Amino acid sequence: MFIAVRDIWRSKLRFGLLGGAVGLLIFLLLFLNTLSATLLGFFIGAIENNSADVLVYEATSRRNLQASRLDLSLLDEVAAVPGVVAAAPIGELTLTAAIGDSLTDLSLWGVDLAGPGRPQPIVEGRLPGPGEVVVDESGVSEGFEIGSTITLVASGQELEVVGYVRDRRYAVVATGYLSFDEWVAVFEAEFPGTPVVPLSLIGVETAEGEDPAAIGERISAAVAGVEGLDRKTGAAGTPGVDSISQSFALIVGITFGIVVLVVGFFFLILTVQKLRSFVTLRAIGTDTGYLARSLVIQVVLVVLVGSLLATGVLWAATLGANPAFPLAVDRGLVVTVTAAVLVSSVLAGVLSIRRIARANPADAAQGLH
Amino acid sequence: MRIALLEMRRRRGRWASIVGAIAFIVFLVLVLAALADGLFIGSTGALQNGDSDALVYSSDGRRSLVRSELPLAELPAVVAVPGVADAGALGVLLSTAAADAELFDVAVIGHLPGRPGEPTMLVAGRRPEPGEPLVGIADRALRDEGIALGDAVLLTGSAQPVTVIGFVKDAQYLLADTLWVPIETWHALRAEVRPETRGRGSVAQAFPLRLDPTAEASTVLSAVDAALGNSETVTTDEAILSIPGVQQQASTFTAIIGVSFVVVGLVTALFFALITLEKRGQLAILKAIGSSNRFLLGGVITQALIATVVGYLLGFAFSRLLAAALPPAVPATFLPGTALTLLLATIAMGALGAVFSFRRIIGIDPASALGGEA
Repeated sequence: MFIAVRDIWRSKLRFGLLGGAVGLLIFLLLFLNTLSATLLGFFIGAIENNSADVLVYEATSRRNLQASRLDLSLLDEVAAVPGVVAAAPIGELTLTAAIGDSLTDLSLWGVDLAGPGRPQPIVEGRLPGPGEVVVDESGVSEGFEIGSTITLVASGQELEVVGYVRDRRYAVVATGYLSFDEWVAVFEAEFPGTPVVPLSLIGVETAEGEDPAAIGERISAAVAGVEGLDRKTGAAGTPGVDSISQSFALIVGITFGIVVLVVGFFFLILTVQKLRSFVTLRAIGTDTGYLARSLVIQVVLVVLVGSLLATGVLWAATLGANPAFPLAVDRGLVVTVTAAVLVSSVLAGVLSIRRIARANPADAAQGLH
Repeated sequence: MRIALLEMRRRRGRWASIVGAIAFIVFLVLVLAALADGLFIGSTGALQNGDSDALVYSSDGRRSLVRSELPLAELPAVVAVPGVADAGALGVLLSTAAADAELFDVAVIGHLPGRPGEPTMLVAGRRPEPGEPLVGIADRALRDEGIALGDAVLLTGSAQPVTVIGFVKDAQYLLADTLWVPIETWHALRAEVRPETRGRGSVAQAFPLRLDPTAEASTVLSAVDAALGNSETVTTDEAILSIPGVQQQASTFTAIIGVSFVVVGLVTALFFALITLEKRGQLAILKAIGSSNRFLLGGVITQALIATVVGYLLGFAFSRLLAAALPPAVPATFLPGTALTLLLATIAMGALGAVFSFRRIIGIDPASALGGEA
């Protein structure tokens, strides 16, 4: 321990460069994860974090909410499936809305305010009443604040924002929730004379202890023309999300592998630089285990300092993020990434330790290294 | 120069580590860029390769092909605007379809054959004639769904099959494969699949424009809006960035690639700084026996160039191997321009790292060689 810390203290520049490089690489990993989670949340947050345990789609829609069109009469059939406590209609319509002086996109969800699919929890404000709507709080930067009035352009209907939900955005646009009956009126105003008002989904609450995926399968088997899915599966099946999430998983995986390899290379170079000193220490009787422990301590210190640096840079990046695409430091992510890099770096350090163990102490007497 | 090369040969293991690290980093940036380009083209190909300079939307449609609606009857008024060479019509219907029993996602795009907005890159078959009913050209990605020329595609909720008579490439929309049909067929299909739109009449969702090459684009776009009174006309590039999610996707990848590049540059420079630190003793000896700073810098730059170029080539090869193994759901597109830019940037970063190291070489005191200080 003593030697490890003294070495760092005496080679401040060398370890400073190393800590900086490791910090930048950890920052890259944190940044990639944060960006991908935020982008995916903007696409499918409303499905992934829905309050319904199971979401029922039209079977031929291929899990595409905008292609899914269900008849209201299916509600009773779904509700009758064993294990289903409640079933409620969910409608989605993306339209143009005026907020303040500007026009914007709005994904409007009609839900049973007391049933599965309801906006819950309300993080600020309250549930909507007639002529009211709650919005995802990420819409604040676009003007969707509590107390503001949204005008739906096609119908001229006005809705007052009375509350916020969190992480419930859909298709990257501002997202609002109101009662299903009001949503039907909006749909009819948007499409005058429409012969049908189709549901997009049916939200299902399952009995306590039931597996939502199993109930989903039961619904698919019992009700013709529908597919029941748990939220995660429904979100992952949204068109395009598969491509985006697989792309990001690939990016994060490759980056992680490269970060570990590069950090490993760094420590290997560092060990090679100090091989002569290690050989001398071994020649005067120092145990290889002690030297290995010193190296591990240095790895741990460098990775921890790098992680602190990375978290600081990420925090600075979140402060400078566009309000319409807010980024936040996720403590769990920082801990997970740091732990993963730490474990992998120590394992990579084993290569360096092998070099120390292989060095011949007799070389010290001849000045070789 | 010779010493630099000799050192690389004699310390193959160490230089292999550096080359390996550079190769992995180059590989990462190439893959990132390929994924970004793949997702971008997959989301926007229908507009990018749609033979238009600008698009007209209804003013309340907020540049959304899905929500904008313009009466087709207004098309002659658009064509009559000075500076507009020709105008077409586009409409989009996002749905699912089946050729046999297998369902797939599809964006059915109505267009006016032979007019602006039609996909340009025909790779097989032929285009529909204007008004030819129930025929279409498909994005070649639909071949992966088993669609062949002459096959009939049936949209979910429709009873009218569309016969595929041609294939185009790079014409996807919102990561969905596209089927391009004459606008009249699109009307018929939309009325079946989305009965609530039956009352909308004969509409298009956007008018793609080809502009007179001599005309001032901004003047023409304003003139179109003035002529229609209820429209928003934007360049095709602006229309592409207005596709839902594309702006966010593009800026996310730009940020990722930018940050990766800065990190890559700094890490490469730090590598060379560490290596130079390691050789202080030897460099001091060389300086003590009369080697000039210029001679030593030449050696460091040569080593940096060799390491970065070899690292780049390896990274490039790895990225191509990965491309061959990627599943179809991951839309990676490796563009030669991106690879060339990265090659130049990697060489520049390597040279920068070497110059950074040079500052330390200048500071080495030749007398320290006599003291055995390393």
